[in-house]
Amino acid sequence: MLRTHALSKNFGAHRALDGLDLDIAPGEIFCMLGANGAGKTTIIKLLLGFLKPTSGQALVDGIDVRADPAAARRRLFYLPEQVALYGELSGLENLRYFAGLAGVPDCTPQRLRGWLEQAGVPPAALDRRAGSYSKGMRQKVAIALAIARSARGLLLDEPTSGLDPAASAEFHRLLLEQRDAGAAVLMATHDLFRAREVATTIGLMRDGRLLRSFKAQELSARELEQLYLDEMSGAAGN
Amino acid sequence: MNAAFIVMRTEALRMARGRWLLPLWLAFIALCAYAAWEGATWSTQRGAALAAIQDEQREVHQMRRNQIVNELTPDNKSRYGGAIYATAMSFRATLPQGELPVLSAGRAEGYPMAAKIFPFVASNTIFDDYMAGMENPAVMAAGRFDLAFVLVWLLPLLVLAGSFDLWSFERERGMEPWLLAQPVSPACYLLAKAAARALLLVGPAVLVLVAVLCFTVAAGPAALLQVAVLSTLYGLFWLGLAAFVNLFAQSAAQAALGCVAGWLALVVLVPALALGLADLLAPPSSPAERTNALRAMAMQARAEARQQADGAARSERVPAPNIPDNLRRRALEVERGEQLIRAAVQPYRTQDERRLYWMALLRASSPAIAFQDALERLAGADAGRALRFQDQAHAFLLDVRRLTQRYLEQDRLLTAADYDHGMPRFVHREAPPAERLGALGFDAGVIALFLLVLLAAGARRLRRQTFHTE
Repeated sequence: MLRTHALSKNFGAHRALDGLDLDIAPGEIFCMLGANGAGKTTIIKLLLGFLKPTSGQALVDGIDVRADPAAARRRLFYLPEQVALYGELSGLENLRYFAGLAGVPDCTPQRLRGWLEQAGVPPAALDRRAGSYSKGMRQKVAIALAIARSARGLLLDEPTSGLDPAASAEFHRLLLEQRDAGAAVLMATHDLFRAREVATTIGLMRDGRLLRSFKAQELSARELEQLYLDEMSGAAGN
Repeated sequence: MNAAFIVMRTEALRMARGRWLLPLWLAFIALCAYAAWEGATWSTQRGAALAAIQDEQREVHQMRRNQIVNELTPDNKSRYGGAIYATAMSFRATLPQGELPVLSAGRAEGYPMAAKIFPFVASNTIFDDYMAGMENPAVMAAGRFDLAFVLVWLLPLLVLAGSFDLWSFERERGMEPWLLAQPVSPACYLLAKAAARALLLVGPAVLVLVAVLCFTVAAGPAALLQVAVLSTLYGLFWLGLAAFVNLFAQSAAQAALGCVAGWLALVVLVPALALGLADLLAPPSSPAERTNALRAMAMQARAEARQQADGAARSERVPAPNIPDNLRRRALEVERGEQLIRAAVQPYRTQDERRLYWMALLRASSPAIAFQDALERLAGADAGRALRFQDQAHAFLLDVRRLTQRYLEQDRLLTAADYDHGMPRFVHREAPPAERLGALGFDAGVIALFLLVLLAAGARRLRRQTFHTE
C-alpha cells in the first residue's frame, strides 16, 4: 500500500533521506524511530507529495505520488504532530469541513456525531467552539476524520507527542482499530514503548538511512531501548 | 459537494463569526454615508450656482429686451448703453454637472464652471469671473473626504483588513500541511477563500456604495452599473494582492506588513511618483506666465489699434449708420487682439496637450490612479470634460462674434423680436458615448491587467514551488 523505491531527498548539500526502500502492506503498522533530523518527517512529506524527491519513487496504492498527488492523497490520511482546527467552528463543523474536502459522502450531522463519538470526543464538546479544545481533543477530531475517510494509508507524524498518558492510550486503541480495518500505517514517533506495543514492524533511522527494521514482537521493551540507544550512539561514534 | 464550494461556505461562516466583520462594515457604511453627504452638499451648492448663472443670463436678456421695447426711441438710441447694438449681447455658457457629481466633492472647482461671453471680450478672459481661487473653501476641501477618496484610499484598506491573513493564518497556526494533505489543490483553497471574501467584503461594499448613490443622486442605471463594475474590479484587485502576498508570507504579521506596503506603494507612492514623472516629462504651464504673456499681447493690440486710429483720417459717414463706426473699429481691434492671443496661447496649449498625453498614459501606472480617473469621469469632474467645455465656450464666443459681425455688416439693430425668437444658446455637448466608454474601459482594463498580472505571478509561484515550504 505504501511503498518507496530508493527514495532520496537532498536539501542543498544535506542528504535528508538516502535510498529508502519501504513496503507497508494493508493491516501493517510501521513505526519509524530515530532522533530528530533522522528523516522521518521527510518520508511522510515525500509520500504526501509536499516534497519533490531528489531520486527514487514514492507510491501510494501503486500511484506515483509525483505523477498524481491528488489521487495519492485521496487514499491517505495524514495526522501531524500538532492538529490545528478552526477555532471559530465547533468540532462537528470542523469535521464536516475536512470530511467534505476529502470527499466523504453523506456527511449528515448524525454520521458526523457518530464518527466523533467513536473517536472519543465527548458529546457535550461536539458543538463547542474548537478554540477551547485541548490538544488531545483536537487529535480526536482528526482521528474521527480518519474513521470517516476509511483511508487506506495513514501517515502519522509523532501523533502522541504532548498527549497525556490516558489520551495516548486512547489514541493507540483507535490506531489498532484502523489497522484491523485494513489500513497501512506509517508512524514516526519517539515513544519506543508505545511503538513496540502497536507496531507490526519497527524501523530505526539515522541520518536519512533506514539502519534496520524488524518485527516489533521480536524484542522486549528493554531490548528495543538498548538497541535504539546503541544505534543512536553509534551515530555519535561514527 | 464541490471542494471549492465547501471552502467558500466554511470561510464565510468563519468570517461571519469573526468579531471584525461587523465593525468593518459599519465603519465603511458610516464613511460612505458621510462622504456622500459631503458630495451631495457640494453638488447642491454647485447646482444652485449654475442655476443662478442661468438666471442671470435670462434676467440680462429680459432687461435688454425691456430697454428696447419700453424705453428706446429712434432718436435716443445710444441712451441706454447701446442695448440696441449687437455688440451688447451677453451670454453665459455653463458646464452642467455630471451624472454622479456626489462621487467627487469639489474636484470640479479646479476648472471654471461657466463663461461670461460678450462679442468683444478677449477669449482668454471669458472664464475669469468663474475661476475659483486657491483660497476658495470648495477648492481647499476638494477631494479631502469624498466618495472617490473613500473608494480609492479606504476600500483597499477594508478589503485588506479582511483578507490579509487569507492563507498565512493557516500557515502560522500549522494547519497548512494538514489542509494540503486533503485532495484539494492550493489554488482551489486560495481562490475559494478569496471568493468568500469577495462575497462578504467587496460585494457588500459595492452594494453600500450603490445604495448611498441612489439616495443622494438621481443617476441612471447605466452610470450606477459602471460605478459598481469598476468598484468591484478595484476591490477584487486588492483581494488578489492579499492572496498574492499570502503566497509568500510565513506569518499573519508578515502578510499584514506586505499588504500595507502594497497599499502604500500603489495608492500613495506610485501616484506621487507618476505626478513627478509627468512634471519631468511635460511640466505644467505656468498660469502666471501665461497671464502676463496674454496681457502683453492685449496691450500690444490696443497700442496698435490706437496707432492706426491716430494715423487714419477720421471721416464721419453721412448719413450716419445705425451702428456707430467706432464699434466696427473695435471689432477689428478685437480680431487683431485674438490673432495675437492665439499665437501667444499656442505654446502653452501645446505644453498642456503634451502634459495631458503623459497624464493619460501614466494612468496605467497604478490601479489607484486608473480608478480615481474613472470615478472623476463618472462624476463629470475630469480634466478632459472641463477642457472640452472650455473649447466649446470658445467656439460659442466665435459664433457670437460671427453673429455680431453680420449685424455690423448689415447695419442692423437688435429688436425685441430677436430676443423673442431666441438668441443663440450655449448647450454643452458631452463626449460621444463611445469615447467616454473607451476612457472608462481603459481604466477598467488597467485595473484588470494589474489583477491578471497578480494572478499570473501567483499561479507561477504555485507551479514553481510546492505550497508547503521545503
